[in-house]
Amino acid sequence: MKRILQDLNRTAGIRGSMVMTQDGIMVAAALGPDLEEDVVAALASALLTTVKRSFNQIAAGESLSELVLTASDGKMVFLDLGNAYLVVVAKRDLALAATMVEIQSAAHRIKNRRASTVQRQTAAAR
Amino acid sequence: MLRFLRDLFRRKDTVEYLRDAWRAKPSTAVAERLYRRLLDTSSPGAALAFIKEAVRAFPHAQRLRDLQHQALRVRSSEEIRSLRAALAASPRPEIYARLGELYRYLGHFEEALEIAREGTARYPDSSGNYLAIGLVHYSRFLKTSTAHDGHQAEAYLRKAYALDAASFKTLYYLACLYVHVGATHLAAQCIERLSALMPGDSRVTDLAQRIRSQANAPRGAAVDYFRLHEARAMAAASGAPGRAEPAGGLKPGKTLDDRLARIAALRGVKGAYVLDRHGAMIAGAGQRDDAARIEAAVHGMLEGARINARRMSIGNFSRAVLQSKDWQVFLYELESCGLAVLGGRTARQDLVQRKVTEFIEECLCEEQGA
Repeated sequence: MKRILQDLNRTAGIRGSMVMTQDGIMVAAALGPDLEEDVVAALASALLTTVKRSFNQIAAGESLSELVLTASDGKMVFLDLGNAYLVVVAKRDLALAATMVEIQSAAHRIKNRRASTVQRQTAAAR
Repeated sequence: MLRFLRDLFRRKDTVEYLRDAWRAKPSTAVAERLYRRLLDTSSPGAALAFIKEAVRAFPHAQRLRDLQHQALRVRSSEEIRSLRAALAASPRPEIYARLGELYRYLGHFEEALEIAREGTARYPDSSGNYLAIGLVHYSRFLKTSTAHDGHQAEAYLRKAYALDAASFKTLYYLACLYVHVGATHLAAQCIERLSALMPGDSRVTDLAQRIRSQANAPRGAAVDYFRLHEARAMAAASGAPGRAEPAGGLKPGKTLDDRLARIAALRGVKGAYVLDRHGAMIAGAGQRDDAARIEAAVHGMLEGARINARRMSIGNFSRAVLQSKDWQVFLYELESCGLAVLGGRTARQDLVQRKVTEFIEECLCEEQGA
């Protein structure tokens, strides 16, 4: 999973990426030297939970599939992976329209990898 | 004669008599009798206060320590009942956290985790519930030494610390965890911060002594599970800047409503709303059938984005796009307020963006003209 994140980080403008559970516990991370895994996970989870709760007041029963946050010094993208989130930290000038394909592709690969891991574990348990 | 003996026996069993006996000649037997009498006749609080005093007088008496533990369990159970009632009436983050702590104290770890997780889901910015979860894992780690609990304890305690860098308790237990696994380097960093928070505290001094005695000991195997980048993480968390104060403001009126109506008229857009910094709707167009709900939801999303963007050191929030299967929400930070555009999946982001840019330019021109 880390290799997928490292591949994604090679895209121009991306500072780092990580996969975290919905309650903010890091699963895998490939963040740059200026980003701390635990801090990003904790704060990303806080943001996601607050925003999701408010979002559900409008779109009742729907899960947030994508969140793109733009701020003065950078961007953050959150993509739903089922029971986890892919978090991407990017530079402010990142052209999101072009990069979103890369991010979605990484999310897809992580989802597939997780699914195959679960299958392997189930088979091993049998 | 019989009556005399009965009266004597009764007198000897009164709280006053036993208190006098305790003052005159303290003993564990008298302490136990007085504690039981206080439980029968007085409030459990008085019994608990007395048994604590007795344990201080006889710190090695296991029987008295058991009684103190029992009294604390009784009091905890009572507190849980009252907190549950308070939670049903008006939930607050502290209630979830306290319930988590009480369940942990009683050894009901699953209940503790459940209630604290509920707390984190409802109040993600409140550090208390993360602390409660971290302490449950810490307690289990002390009992079982399972690496998973060690990991989780560290992760949740650090998360609580990231949200509240001034919490002595969080940092103290993080230090205890590091001391327990022999991670003296990490523990020393925590102790240094603890000393700055509360200089001269005896608990911190004790921890520092334990570290010194471990300084030359080989690092425990469990320490390998703990990462070594704590210092920068904590510095980053504690250095998070505060929120900027709002300035100026859009004035409600027909002009503003008309401008919002142009955004709301876009295909797939359900409504456009402007809210001030306090969450009050200044103007809106489109779907207005449940204005209070929309107002609360939009304010929650804007605040979440504002606060956390700053904390994550990506600067001041400027805009966000949220998507689900059937919904899209576009949030924009204006100088003094927030703009939200709600739409279905058919709403086109580029068109919304163009209309919003026009809206902002018009508002700016008006402000400069004024």
